[in-house]
Amino acid sequence: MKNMKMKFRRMDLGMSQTELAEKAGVTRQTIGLIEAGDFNPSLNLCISICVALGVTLNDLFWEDSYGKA
Amino acid sequence: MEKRNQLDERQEQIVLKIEHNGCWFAFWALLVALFVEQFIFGFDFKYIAGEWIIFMILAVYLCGACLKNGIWDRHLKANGKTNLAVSAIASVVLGILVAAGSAIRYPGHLAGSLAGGVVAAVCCFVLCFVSMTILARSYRKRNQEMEREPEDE
Repeated sequence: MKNMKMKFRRMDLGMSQTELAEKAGVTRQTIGLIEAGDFNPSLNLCISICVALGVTLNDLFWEDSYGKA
Repeated sequence: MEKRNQLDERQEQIVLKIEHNGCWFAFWALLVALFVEQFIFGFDFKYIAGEWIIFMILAVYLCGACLKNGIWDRHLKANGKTNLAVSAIASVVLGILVAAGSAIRYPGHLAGSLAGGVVAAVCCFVLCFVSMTILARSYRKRNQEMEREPEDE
């Protein structure tokens, strides 16, 4: 599933994938794959991305549909 | 029919680690076996061809798959210093093995054994350095391609 929340937050901040990757300590490819929904990041990487984007884990990685039958 | 993974995330990581260890054990064990058979026992190539082919397929696969994904190494950087150091280590190890193996098989020809070791070491250094320089260049090119920002933003 694509992570549009992460992509939009990054774009709101005027940040490129490369800049976010540098702040989170990963490669640009990894950021691209997370946004495209092709890679599941570890909790540590999720936290690094949230810190770099100034948001919480809920803001980027939680969907309202989770936990509903 | 899609196979369902019976492992949870933690078990999956452990299996990957086990497979990683197994792969590298097979790689180095094959290399050692080839050296022993070739340089100590002096087997003909036809007797070690099977092992050699498997070893080369494994080596080419590992290199090709890493290059395709823009990956060089966990610890080493793709530069001339690395290529020089790795080539030097490989050539010294090969030179010693060739000289020692030759000395064991032909005890009365120490000078010839040493000369064989030196020639093997020099050839190994040149081949290693050239091939690593080509691979490092391919890696840098591939990595630059993969690190380029997407154009749809």
